[in-house]
Amino acid sequence: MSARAPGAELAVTTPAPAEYSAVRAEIVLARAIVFFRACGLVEVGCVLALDWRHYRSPALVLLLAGAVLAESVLLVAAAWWRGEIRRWWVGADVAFLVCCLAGSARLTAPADGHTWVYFMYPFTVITCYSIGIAYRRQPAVIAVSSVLAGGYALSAIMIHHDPPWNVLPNAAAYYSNIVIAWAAAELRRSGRASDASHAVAIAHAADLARERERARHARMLHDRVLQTLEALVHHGSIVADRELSSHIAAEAAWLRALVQGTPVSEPGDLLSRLQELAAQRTAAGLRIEFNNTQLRASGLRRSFPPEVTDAVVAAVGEALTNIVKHSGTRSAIMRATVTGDQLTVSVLDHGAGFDPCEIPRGIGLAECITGRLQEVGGSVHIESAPGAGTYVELTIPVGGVVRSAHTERMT
Amino acid sequence: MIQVTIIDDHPVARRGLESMLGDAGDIVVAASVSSPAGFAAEGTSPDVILLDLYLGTDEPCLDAVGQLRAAARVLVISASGRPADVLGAIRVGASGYVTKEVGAGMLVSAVRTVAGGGFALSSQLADILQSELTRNPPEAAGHQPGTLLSPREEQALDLIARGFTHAQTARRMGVSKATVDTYVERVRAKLQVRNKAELTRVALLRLASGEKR
Repeated sequence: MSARAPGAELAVTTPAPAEYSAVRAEIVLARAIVFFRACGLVEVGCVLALDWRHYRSPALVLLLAGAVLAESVLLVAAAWWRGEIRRWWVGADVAFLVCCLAGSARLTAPADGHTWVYFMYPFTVITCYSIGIAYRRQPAVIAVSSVLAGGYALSAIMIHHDPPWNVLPNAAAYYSNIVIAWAAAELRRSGRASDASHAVAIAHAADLARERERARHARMLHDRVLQTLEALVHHGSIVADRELSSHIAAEAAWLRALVQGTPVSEPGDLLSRLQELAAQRTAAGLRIEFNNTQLRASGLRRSFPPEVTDAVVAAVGEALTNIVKHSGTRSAIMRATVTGDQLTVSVLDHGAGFDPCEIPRGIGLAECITGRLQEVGGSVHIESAPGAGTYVELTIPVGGVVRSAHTERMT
Repeated sequence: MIQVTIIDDHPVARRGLESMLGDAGDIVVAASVSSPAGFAAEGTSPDVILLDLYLGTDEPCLDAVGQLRAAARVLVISASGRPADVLGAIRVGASGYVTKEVGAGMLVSAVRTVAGGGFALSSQLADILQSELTRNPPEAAGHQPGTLLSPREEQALDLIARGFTHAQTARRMGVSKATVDTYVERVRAKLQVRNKAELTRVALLRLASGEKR
């Protein structure tokens, strides 16, 4: 049978062939055949030792025993060597045993008092389990067992002249192979199942290892190369050439977007979108600190409907644009949290601020952001005063979203 | 004047930090070295050690934080803003944590706070600490009683995480700035108390994993 489990090719560490459970099951079954065969031979040996004085034709009996021994050794050697048993071996074995049963009946009829054909009947009953082990389908198991049972019955009745009422129950013993075949099938099935789940586990481990490696590389680029690039840009005195400096700044912005931004596998979730926005604005010259530990830890970043995400990102973008235009400062702090039933995103600067009653600025900002948020049931709170910076807080009730996400995770 | 020693393995970063701090006026960079061993060799006794958390390796130098805090107050500076690094550094006794993205103004004010014996709590640090200390029940169940935040402490942490200064936070809460400073100090104390049992556990884990290697 095939030893390779599906998906095993992908594995980081594939087990050696003998470590597959399916292969081990096959080896165990082959060994069981060897064991039954050895027991059968012990039986033949015992009979020969006890009865050798009573032989009518000892030479022929010994010849028969010798032939059985030779055939058994051949079969055992093959099973041991290959670690499996083949159907045609067992088929040939059954044909051979039927001949031996007939021969045995001929040699001992009618002298011996047994109602079975001398040592061949017990021998075949002990060793016939190779049928249940080798043949995978019950109809085949029953058919081959019937050949053996029929061979025995015919030999016993026709040649050995045993009474049929005694022979027929004896013949039924061969059909215990049905149980053996069932047990062997179960053993093989659990071996395959174990291999399959092992392969899945290995594939998961490989994915995890790849993901860790990717994260490690991103971290190293971030912690080492990016720091150096950004230090070169931020401390203008180091790189005097303006053109070179702006080139380095562009490279640094690109690298920053690569290492922190957009995990490609999950585009569009709220956290990634806000990070993208922050990265874009940072590249455009606004220094943004984005505090998002709580949103990240909440595991809810993907639970917001697209319209909520779009509205929040647009509103935050508007607030950031406003800072660049009016605050007179080049830095801002964004924070996103999910607490209870609400998502809160705040944008703060320590810049010029404004008088909220002043029509062009205060009302304009509020209207622009409020309009977008009201559509998704959110609200905006803006605080500012001349010289005291501007604080914009967006809140959106997300009770349903959060609860359903919790339920999803729990089920 | 505040005496500062910089420990960072990147020459460019060291130069940047030197120039940022040098411009402050009340800060002197007494030494600027690439490793804690270099600091020991210099033999200076600064008020504040500005320590890079990743000294040319993949592992944060938490052990160095623990050792250096005996010599001076340690302000950790790192490119990493990972919650595990930030918490790890505070728990082993750092007096503050700033990321390398920080502006000169924030860095200088953090150094001043630490030199004055305070806890330099940036908004990013507050964000991480609030998230860590107010996790929802499953995680919180393992916390020792009395180590969680009081409502006022959490409110202070929350406002600071949004970017407000201590003074602005105090105004919003209707208390004095000194009270906010006290809240912040208590947050640090809570982290470091919780720390002892956990430190032992981490040390044992590290020992176990070290033996496996």
